[in-house]
Amino acid sequence: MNDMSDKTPRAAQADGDLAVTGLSVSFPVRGGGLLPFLRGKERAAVRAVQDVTLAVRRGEMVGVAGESGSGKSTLARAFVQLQAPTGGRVTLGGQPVSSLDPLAFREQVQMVFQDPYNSLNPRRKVGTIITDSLVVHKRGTPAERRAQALEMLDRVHLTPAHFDRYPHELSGGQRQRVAIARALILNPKFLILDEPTSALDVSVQAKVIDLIQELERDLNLGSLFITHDLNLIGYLTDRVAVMYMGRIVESGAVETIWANPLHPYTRALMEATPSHKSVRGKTRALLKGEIPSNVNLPRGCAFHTRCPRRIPGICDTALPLPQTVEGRTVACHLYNDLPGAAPFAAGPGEEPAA
Amino acid sequence: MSIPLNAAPGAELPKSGRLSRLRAGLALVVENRSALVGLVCVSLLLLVALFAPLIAPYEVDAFTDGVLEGPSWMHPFGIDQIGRDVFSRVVEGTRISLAVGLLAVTISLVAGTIIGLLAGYYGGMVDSVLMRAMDIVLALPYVLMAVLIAAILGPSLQNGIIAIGLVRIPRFARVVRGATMSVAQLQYVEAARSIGASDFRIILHEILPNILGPLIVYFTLSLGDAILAAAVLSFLGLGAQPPMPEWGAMLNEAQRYLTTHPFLSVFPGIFIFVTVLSFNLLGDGLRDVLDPKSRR
Repeated sequence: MNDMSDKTPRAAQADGDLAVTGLSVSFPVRGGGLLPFLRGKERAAVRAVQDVTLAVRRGEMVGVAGESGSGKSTLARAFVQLQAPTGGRVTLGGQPVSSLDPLAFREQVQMVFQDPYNSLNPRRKVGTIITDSLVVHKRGTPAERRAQALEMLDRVHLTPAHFDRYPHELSGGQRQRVAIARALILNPKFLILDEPTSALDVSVQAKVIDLIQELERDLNLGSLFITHDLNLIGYLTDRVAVMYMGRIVESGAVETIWANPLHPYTRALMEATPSHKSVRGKTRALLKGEIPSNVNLPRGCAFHTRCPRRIPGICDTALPLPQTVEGRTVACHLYNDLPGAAPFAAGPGEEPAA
Repeated sequence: MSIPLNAAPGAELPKSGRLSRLRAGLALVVENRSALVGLVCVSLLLLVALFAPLIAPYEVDAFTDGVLEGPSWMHPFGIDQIGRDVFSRVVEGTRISLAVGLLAVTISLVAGTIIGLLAGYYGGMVDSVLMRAMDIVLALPYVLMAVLIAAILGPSLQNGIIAIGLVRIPRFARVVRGATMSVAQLQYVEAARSIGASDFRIILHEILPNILGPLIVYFTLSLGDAILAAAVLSFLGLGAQPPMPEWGAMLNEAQRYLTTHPFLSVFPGIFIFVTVLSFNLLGDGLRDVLDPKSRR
């Protein structure tokens, strides 16, 4: 199984990568009053993203999967500097983003938002929305900007007639195309897509996905595709990172992980996905219980409260460190050289392959 | 051009734009009966104000040949204590009252909108400092404010306008702040930030156009209030001074004759009442039209 290790993401960052290193984002919880603050207690915080390291290369699509509340969207927002990290750093081409000119950064990294009914200003025409990116970046004359926007409309398979429409006159799919056009007119190198199809009808989803794939290929974009839809990730992306409670639990090449998920959480997610071929005909072992609170995180591995294979005394005390197992990175005690640990891949009694 | 994935994307688009939305809005106003009454009355008052010199049969300060006479064909609203035609004065008063209301509310609108936008957009300390300052102003009644200003600058219509305008700033600030906060969390504001738009640009292009609805409603409702407040100040002698034909000032002059010649008070009073009422009706109607929650 080690012949797949050439696909692992541990390869050194190439120049031009968009990457986060040890990224953490936490939000202080409002309330609690002045008293705990005066007593010098640590203020409660929602830890949305914790110690995430992930890189996106040009020409590659990286998927981020996870349940609601796993920190996917916060990670996306941190990638495009809409959310200031509380720890770690974001780098573009090896340079810390904080040292770059904000406009120069935005020129290269753009974002498409989840809900196209919410991400377009209802009072502005499609043409204004798209050309606004150019106005902000002081590019071209009004006529040039218009020409560029029309060209962009064509690229996303809309017509020049859409230039003078208001968002409310468009369908969900058309709106999302406008949002994509707005992001791409700056000619960015990286595109962060935060569940770009989850608000759309299934029939429209496929068309938008096709468009994203086509544009990614044509423009040699590096993109981060955030979704909870594992089928979509399997279909679209080159690499995947599975998140649970703000941490990446398993990451690597999609085909490696999809063929044989190692982390119990990845396994559970895939078994919960209806049409996935690996579970067809099998009975599903659905996860029990709710995702725990982001404020009072469980001790040890955050997944131990729901994990079907937890090792008592270990999983609830120590945080599993990410390690390379069978060509991917996985953070789970099952794959440590610990007594009682038995990975999925190995038979009972065998030593885990490290 | 590649083949569009959507079947004929241009075909299903409705032929509409700003104009049709305006027409739809107007239709909703007409459907709403009280709003329609408000709209008609306000339009009439505006016409009266606009063409006051043509409508008024006499000069405002001209003396006629009678004194303290009741309504007649020649003088529909009667003649006052020094022989001036009340109808002409009331008509001219419309002009003054509408102008006073507009000026005062414009002061509140401009200052309140700027403060509300800043407080609502930036939040945190900016919000706290600005809104606590607004709370202080909110605690001052406009009459007290007018007395203060009159004490410093002397009583005049201009100072009355300033007093009324200043006192209403916090209310506008609150309306704008609330609307700003709800718009600021929408994704298109975040999208604007993600393309690199500056705060100023976001406030001007993304937020302001989307809070105009509540702003217009509050502006209209405030016009009625401000006109009433101006009349009150003038009645108390803190606003317009005689011989200016301001409705409140006319009431002040007329109160000595209230028992003997009540018509002197009745007509300016009716105009104040109708004006305030019609602005309130129109404002309520606009709220129904502009508030999407009230639509079916």
